[in-house]
Amino acid sequence: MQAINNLMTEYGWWSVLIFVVLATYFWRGLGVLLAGHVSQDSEVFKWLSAVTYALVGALTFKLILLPIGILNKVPISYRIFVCIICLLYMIKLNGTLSKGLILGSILIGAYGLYLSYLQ
Amino acid sequence: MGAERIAYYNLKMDQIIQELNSVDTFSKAMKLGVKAGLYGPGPVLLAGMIGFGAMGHGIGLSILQTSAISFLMYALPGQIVFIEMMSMGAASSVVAIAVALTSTRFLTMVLTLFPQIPKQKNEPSRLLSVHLVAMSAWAFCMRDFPKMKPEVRYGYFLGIGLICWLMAVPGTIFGYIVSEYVPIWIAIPLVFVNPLFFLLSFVDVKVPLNRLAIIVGGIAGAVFYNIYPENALLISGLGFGSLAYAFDYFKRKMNH
Repeated sequence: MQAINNLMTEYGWWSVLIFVVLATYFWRGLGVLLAGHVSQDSEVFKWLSAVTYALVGALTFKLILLPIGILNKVPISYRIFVCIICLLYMIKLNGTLSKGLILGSILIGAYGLYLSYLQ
Repeated sequence: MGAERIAYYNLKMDQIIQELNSVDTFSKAMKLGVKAGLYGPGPVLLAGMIGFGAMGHGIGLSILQTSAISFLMYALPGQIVFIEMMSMGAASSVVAIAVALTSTRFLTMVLTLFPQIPKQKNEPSRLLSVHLVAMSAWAFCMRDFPKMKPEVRYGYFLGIGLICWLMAVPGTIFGYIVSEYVPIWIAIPLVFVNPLFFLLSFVDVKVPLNRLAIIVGGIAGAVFYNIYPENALLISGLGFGSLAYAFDYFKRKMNH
């Protein structure tokens, strides 16, 4: 681990990119090699998908609740409000993903309009 | 006008679905795939890439760095994990592990998709074309493959995959440049589109274990970012994802 970290600091940002590109390709390439040979119902797959969903869940909550940059200008209560409205639209009204995204963009953009012209 | 557009869009998609079973050559299938890509997953993917470009700009990366990520990784959650963790100052090895873990879904995606395509002589290398496997092409191929002749499926996959991949870099560059000049009420939705996309796609997750993992991981993520910002993603994903798995495993064992 330490050796990898040292290597990365020496060659900087681009070497980390190469590393994560390889890490991403690894699973795609492995899929090609294993296709037709393994069952996806095994315990390893269940564990891997749980870990993936937990990670993406953590990323999503973080980006919405504790964002860096411009999204910080929208109060957290309003961000959560927009998310709840969009989720309700998807679940209760059987909305499509693209229409849900448009709805959310309009609602969050409306706060930007309020910031620009009314405040 | 808006309603007309949507009606036209639905009509196009219906036409594509009707053409699926009559397609008989590789090149026709590929052309149909390109069309399906443009009308199906294309717009959402493009919006995601534009949003990613805006995020890269906001975090302070160069335009070259931001578009290289989209071109080479072509996996939005992993891309965002990468730039988020780098900006938090996480150790390179921790970043690599977290990105590798976000990308595990590709293994299951390839394992479900590629066995449906029969091997043919002189086909484009699968080890290369597998880079095009992403949520966009995968979901549409899984839906449409059963309606198609097996020997033309590879062309259809390449069509959707290529057109979506080719949109990634222009989208990223556009988002990067535009976010500098547009007013705040456009810039805010640009950076909000990706987290919202992830959140809304969770609605389609049906397996109870995965639902539990999202909620537990999400809460852990929000809590641990305040305590260990640089390792929060890894702790929440690997730690709490495994915890959710263990809970599910023992629950299943108890019931048997």
